[in-house]
Amino acid sequence: MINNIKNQKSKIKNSLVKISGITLFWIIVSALLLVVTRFGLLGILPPGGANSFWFRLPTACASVLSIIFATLIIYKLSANKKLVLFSGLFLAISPWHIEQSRIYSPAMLGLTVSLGGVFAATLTRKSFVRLLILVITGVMFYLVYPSVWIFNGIHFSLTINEFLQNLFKLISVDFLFYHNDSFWAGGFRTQGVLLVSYLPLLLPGLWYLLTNFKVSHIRLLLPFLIFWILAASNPLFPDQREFFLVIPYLAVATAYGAVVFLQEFESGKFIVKTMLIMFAVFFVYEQILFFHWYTVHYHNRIKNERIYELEKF
Amino acid sequence: MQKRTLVILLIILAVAAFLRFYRLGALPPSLEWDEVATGYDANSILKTGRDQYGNWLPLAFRSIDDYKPPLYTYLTAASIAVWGWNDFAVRFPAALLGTLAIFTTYGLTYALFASQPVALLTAFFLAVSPWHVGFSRLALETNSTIFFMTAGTWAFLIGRKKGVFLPVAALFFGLNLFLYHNARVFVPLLGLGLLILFWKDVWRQKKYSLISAVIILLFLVRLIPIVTSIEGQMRFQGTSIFTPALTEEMAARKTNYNLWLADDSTANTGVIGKLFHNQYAFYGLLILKNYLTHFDPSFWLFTNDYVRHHVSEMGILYFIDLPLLLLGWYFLLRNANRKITLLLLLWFLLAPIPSAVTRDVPHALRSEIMLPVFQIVIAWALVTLYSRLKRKPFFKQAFVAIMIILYAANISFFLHQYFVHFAKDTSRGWQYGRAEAAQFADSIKADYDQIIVSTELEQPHVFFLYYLKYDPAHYLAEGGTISGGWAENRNHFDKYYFKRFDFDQERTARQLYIGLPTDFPRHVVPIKRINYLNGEEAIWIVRG
Repeated sequence: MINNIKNQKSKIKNSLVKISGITLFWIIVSALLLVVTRFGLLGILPPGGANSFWFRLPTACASVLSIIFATLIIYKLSANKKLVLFSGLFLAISPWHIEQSRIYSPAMLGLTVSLGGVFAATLTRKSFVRLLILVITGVMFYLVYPSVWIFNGIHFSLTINEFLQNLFKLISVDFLFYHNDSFWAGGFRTQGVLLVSYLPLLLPGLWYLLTNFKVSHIRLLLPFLIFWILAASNPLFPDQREFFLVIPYLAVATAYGAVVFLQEFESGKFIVKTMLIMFAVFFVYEQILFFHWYTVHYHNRIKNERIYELEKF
Repeated sequence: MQKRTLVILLIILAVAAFLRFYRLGALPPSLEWDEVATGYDANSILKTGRDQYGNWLPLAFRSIDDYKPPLYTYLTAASIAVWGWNDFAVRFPAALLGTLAIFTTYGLTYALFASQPVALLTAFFLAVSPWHVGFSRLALETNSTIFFMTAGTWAFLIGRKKGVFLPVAALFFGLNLFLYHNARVFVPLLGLGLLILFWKDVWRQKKYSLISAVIILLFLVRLIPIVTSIEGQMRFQGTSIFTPALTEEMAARKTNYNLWLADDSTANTGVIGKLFHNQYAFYGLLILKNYLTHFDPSFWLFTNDYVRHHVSEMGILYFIDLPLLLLGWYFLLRNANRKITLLLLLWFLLAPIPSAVTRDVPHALRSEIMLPVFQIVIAWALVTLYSRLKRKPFFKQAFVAIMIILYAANISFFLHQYFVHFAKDTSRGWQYGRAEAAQFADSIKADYDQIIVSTELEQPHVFFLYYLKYDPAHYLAEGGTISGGWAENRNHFDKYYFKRFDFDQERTARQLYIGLPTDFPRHVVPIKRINYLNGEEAIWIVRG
């Protein structure tokens, strides 16, 4: 009884409803970034046709929903407000998430449906309802993302060696930080899945997750493993987008790193603080660099490719 | 050391020696340019005291214009004095130091963990490591660096208590500076790390620390003029990312940067472009990428660098190594002695720094200096896992059996690929066919006034000098090597002239031409075709 009361008190204390000024500030910043990066100039960036805005709007809305679902799931699982805020922020400014939000992207719709399903499942404890949610989510996933290769009757045709190479390519430095060639039309061939400056956050984040790993966490890792294997076994590899579905995992790992970063900063010595500030400056610089690249150069590349496609085909 | 441990260690050393010396002269299938250049210089030093350029006992061998550090060549000279002038002798120092590195690695690991199982397992893993076995069979300096690094660090760790070993460590580190270019960056960095980690111990051994400092200073006094000279920087100029000769990937990135700058100059004032797409950002991100790729599992397991750096269908680590490596780091970071973990981490993280500023990365050869950290961490993982299976003999036995089966499968696959298929798969990479071409040409040279050898055969003068066993004194009397530059057309000896040629324009009846098939017009019928081991055409020999 006493424990229950304590738990409830702790929940109220950690509740999202009870927020400090700084928390509110971060929420507003993230929300603003989210709205601007998803809906700003949606019809013309990247260049498209006359109806591009309406064509892209569902994906843009889905991307916002995906972040809301992701943050709610993380809050349900961890009850850690800092983690939730950082996860939301990293998803909001994630280069790949932004890019997929601003085109018609079945992968983004698939991600939103998956996260929505998981969130719905966290609202109930009844196995039957959970099973029902799973089935509905599966059907909806198929409807919004029918281009996943296993839905198209394509047979697995890779050798074990090729499959393993694909698996490791998806977690390679080149793919993660420099050269996302997973999607030709509109893809990021001069950028990685993440910015390089995420690495100093990703590593401590992964370390934290690893050192606090419990056997019961395996079920949380299953979707990651499934999507990773699914992406690597695509016969059209690297031209695939299934790996995009793991993006919330990358955001959470990075967010854990940011929490560690913040703790170190608060308790660190002068030299540690100086180093962390330098890193923060680099992080901001690279993020601005990305926005600059996306709004100016990516725009031009896509425009040129569209002209080429129109002339050629 | 217990008798049982000694026996196991001797068996491991025997295995290591077998894997490094068996068919050493014949596999890899031929000596490549660096090896023949070292072999010729070593013999030249032995016979005349001068290298192929006529330099007296040099401390930097100009070789093929890469100014090699001298130690390996002098060791090769000693080897040739013992074994005679042949391929085995040229590769002998690498194989010997590769084998001795197993022993020093054993010692180093024991000094770190005071655990015989960890030390023995580490020695075994290094003995059968594809990365280490492969490069121990080449007359290149890199692999020998590992012997000097492990010996030096081992001596340093012992020297913390028995000060007399500190000067020994200084000697090994100092010699390493004259062995390999990358060691000139790595040794000072790791040395500094050792001093910071163990400064209290070093301070306690004041007398020996002072002697060590003097030894290091003596090496540095000789080294600094070399590395600051134009010649000393030639290798860096030849391999660094800052040279104008860009790799395909760098050229593509540079093109992107230029396009972006052009975009920015039209979209805005160009200031933003300069802020974001400047050369500091370009090289900074590139160096970071070059560095990080050395930690890519794809590189370790499927290495995509030169074909001659690994056997077909596998990389430079075993598949089973990867999970154990991750586990090992986990155990070390969680539970092991902090200083030991930091030392291993420093070694692991500092080793790829010199390669990060070079082209063609990741590069298994340039980053081999990361060894034997992999093996130490893997051994630690295995021993820790085993010790955690407490009070359950069945699980312990099952664990050992599974590990033996997995490693046996991995190792036997590597040995099969290496000893059966490697020569055929990679003979092109080893510049195969030069020996046969030289010997054939020599057998008919009486019929010709001149033998013209295409420089498309990549430094052919050293191959012909080496394989024809041309007397160094005679060669130097004829002028020696003019330069090892790629465009050099003036190198010659006896009837042999090494240059680019236009066959149809230049040929005369008393000339013999040797080159790649692509050096000749299609109508030409060669008198001799030399093929790579996989059947592809390698070299044509054609009458003028």
